[in-house]
Amino acid sequence: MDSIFTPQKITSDLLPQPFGRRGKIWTAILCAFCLVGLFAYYRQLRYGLSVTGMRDYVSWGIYISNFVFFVAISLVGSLITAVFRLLNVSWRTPLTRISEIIAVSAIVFAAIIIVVDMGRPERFMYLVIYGRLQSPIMWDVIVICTYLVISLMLLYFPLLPDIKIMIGQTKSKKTFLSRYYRWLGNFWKDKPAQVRINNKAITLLCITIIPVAFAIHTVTSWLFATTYRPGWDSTNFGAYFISGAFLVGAGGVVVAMYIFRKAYSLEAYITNKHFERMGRIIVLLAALYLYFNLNEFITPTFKMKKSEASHLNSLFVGDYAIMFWFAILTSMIIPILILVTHWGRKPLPVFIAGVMVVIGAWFKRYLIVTPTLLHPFLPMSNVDESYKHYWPSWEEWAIAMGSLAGAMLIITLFARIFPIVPIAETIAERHEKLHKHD
Amino acid sequence: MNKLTDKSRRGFLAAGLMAGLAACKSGADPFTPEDQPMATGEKVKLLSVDGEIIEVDKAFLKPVPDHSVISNAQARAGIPGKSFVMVIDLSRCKNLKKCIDACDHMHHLHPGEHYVKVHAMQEAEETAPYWQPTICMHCDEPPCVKVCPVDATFKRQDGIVLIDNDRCVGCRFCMAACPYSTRVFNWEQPDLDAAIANMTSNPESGIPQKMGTVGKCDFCTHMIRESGDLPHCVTACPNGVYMFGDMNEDVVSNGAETFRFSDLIKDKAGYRLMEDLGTKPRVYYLPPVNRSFPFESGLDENESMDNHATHH
Amino acid sequence: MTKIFIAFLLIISCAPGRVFGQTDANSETDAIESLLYVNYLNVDNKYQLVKLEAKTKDGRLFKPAKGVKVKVYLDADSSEAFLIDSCITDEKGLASVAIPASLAEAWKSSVTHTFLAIADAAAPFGATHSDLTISKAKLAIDTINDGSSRSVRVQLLAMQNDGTWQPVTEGDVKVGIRRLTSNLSVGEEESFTIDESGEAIASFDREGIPGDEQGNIVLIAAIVDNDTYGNLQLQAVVPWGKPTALAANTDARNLWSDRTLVPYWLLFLISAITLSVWAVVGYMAIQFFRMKRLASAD
Repeated sequence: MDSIFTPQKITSDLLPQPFGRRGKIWTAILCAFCLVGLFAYYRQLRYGLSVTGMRDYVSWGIYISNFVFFVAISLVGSLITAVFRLLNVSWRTPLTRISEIIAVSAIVFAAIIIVVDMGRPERFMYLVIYGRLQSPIMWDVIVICTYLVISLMLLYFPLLPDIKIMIGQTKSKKTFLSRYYRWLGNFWKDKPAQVRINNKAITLLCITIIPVAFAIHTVTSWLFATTYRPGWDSTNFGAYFISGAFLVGAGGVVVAMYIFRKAYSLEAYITNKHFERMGRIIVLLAALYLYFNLNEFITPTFKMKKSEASHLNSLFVGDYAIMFWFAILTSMIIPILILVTHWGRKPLPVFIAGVMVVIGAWFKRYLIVTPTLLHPFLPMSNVDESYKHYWPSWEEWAIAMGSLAGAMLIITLFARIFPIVPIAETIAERHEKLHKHD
Repeated sequence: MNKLTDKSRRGFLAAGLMAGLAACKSGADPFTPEDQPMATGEKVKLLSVDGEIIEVDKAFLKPVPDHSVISNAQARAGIPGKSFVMVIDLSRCKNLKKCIDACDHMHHLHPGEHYVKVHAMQEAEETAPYWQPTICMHCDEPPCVKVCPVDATFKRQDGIVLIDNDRCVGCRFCMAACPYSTRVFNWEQPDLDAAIANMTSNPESGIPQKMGTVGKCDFCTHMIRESGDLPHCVTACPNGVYMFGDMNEDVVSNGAETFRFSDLIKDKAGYRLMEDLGTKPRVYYLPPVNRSFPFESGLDENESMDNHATHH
Repeated sequence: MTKIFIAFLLIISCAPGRVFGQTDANSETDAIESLLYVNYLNVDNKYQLVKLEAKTKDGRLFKPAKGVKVKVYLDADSSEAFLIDSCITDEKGLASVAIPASLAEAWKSSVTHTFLAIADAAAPFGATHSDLTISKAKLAIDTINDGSSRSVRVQLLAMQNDGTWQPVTEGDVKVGIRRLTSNLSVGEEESFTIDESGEAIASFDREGIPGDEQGNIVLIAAIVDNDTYGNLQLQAVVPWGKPTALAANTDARNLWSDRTLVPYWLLFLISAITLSVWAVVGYMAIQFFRMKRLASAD
């Protein structure tokens, strides 16, 4: 049946299409969120971080949990592209570009949100001029820059054959886009020598990005684990963060898969089989994350050290209990229960499970950052009552939501400009399969 | 009977030259002549008690507190030969909060934010509650300095941990790293008089505060440098809770009393907070035994017993 | 408990001597009283300072009077020939004048002198005057080492009418070790009584107290607010301290050192990891340009 998928049909199926009505509304909504976020940030620049709900005790709020969320979801780029490629997973092709663009947009907004959190964003360059290697923040700066560059390369190198197709499609036009395509990939001629170099380069990038991806998330966990605070002072933190990141990344990919499949009618390319496989992978990753959660919480709970006790109690039965159990249930247990069943691995249930994983993961990051800061070693004395609680201000929500919208906007615009499912690779695969049948 | 040695005779004379200064600047240290005011070269002729005429440099006659702005490099290097230390006697504290007021006032702090805090502490249900003031511990292995990405907070040779408001990027990692929660953040533009707001920033005095940067207790070493005065919390406390000094001199003082630091710590079983964290604080506590005041005398309407926590 | 030792320099500079201040009736409101304190300080038997302190008293509230101009005369009132100096009080209400060489004849003429201080009005401080009479005296300090213990011997010598100095046989003297902000008593006692033989013996009980690199410490003997002699202080350097190297190690490589002092293990780890990853990035850039070159080569 693959014989009906001629290169022409595949190309026309997968070419990026102008926004329809729904696409325009979607983009407008994202832009609106971004604009509100920008306005909130203007207010923050003008009046200082006092516009946030953060105060001396809770000195890190949803900006930082959002940052951790972005870093986490960006890990998917290395999971799908690198791990699947190195393991020679044959069905990965339609998912690689989706996961790579998620990785790039997430890491870009991770960097942006960390600048937003700074009290003195205009001094950002001090991190370069006066950078101090002893600080885990410097390690994070180095590793985020590195990961961004490698992710961009891993997005760009496999894109070259598709850019050639795009140049061919827009040859007659003199639009901005056609000039942009030519600027990006005019040199790509599909020469065997070029293909050979490109394939080698992609393999080497895939090998490199895995340790870098581990590093980015481990270092991010160390921003917390290098302090003494209850809930952060954990040797488990690196592995705990990485397993959580793989999970939310995979969740993000299935959500994006489902939406692109619907929006661009890609049922023939992103098939039920892909959801079935990704469903299984999410079960595995959710179970892994659940394991690290047990590891993270059982041992301190068993000991109940005085410094940890109030923190743990606030999570299990106290102020944060509803959010805590919501996050555990929605990001791990319910997705596992859905996805272990055969019917649960159909596209819609997998999509729903993916949405739950992502939402649960966002709240999980909030729970990692905030409750700990409300349980310092010494009592909170001589401060106003408002210092003893934290709830984000509307500016914080606007900026956080604006950054999420911004990341989605990058993905949306990318899919408008470039084929979200690699065309050249798909053609090559179908061709290969066809010949095998012969 | 032992005559003074020749060497010490010379020292005696040298010390004598500086004694005019000592009259006004009691904190002058004979071993650090660079602390003395610069000689003007202009001599005045004075009368000794014998009626003899002696010549003295004008600067020694009328020493004024040295308010000259020290450079950023000087503020970062610290005062050579010093090793500052604080002792807080918990048996004398009754939560008067004079230290908080004086510190807030002198550092022009944002209302509601304090470098000094007084905690109501109770180790266990059956143990006695007590008042525990905390300031920056100026740790010898400071977790806040470890994590600073831009050298904005730093450890000096005299043991002090300071913050450079012109360097701080406002990431607040140091606040998360500090187990004693002594750091505050300028969440909004500080409400300062123009005269103070326009002062050249000096990490040693921490003035002026700047929006988007971190602040904390600085042990008031600018006072030592300028006039040899004790920190504001020390002089403000009517009960002599705080004792400040130099470990290299083995002495701490609250203004009215002066103690040999090593004897005081030994005799009264001094300790440091959260020793197990390995931060090596420079603030020592004397346990709340034989108290001057009952704990309840420090309670006000805002403080309730449920506010208590235990220290690590 | 360690014996309390009053920081006597603090007292010298801050505490009142004797109050002779009288408000001029015609120039002052009733509510606010203006106080002028005069004090005499003799440092190391050489410099002599007349210290002044101006305060206002409003009910029970004392406030330092700043910017008060005070003229101080030796013995004779308001004669410019006997003007010691004039001065203006600072924000703490303090000022001091030194006795100039020009008054040598007048100074030598008597064993006892009176300092007359006349303050101008500087609202809310009203014009007032005050005086202080002292007799000339000197301190002598010596050390005693009887093998097992060390002591300081202090004598207070008063000038006699014949111009000789004779020991005073009463009064108290304080002996301390000079430290950063105050003085540490030499032992359990802070104050020592001068006996009939005119000596006060202070035993030194601070073995091992840190001195400078040579082990020198500064001893201070002081007469505080004596009714006859005013304030006197004398310091002496003795090698009784523990030699202390004061140089701090500022170039150690620690996690809490500055950016130039990264620990080698960390520097190596970060450099090795970063360089190896960026080597791959660099290699990728080379591959990119190789592919670009291949485009034009046929």
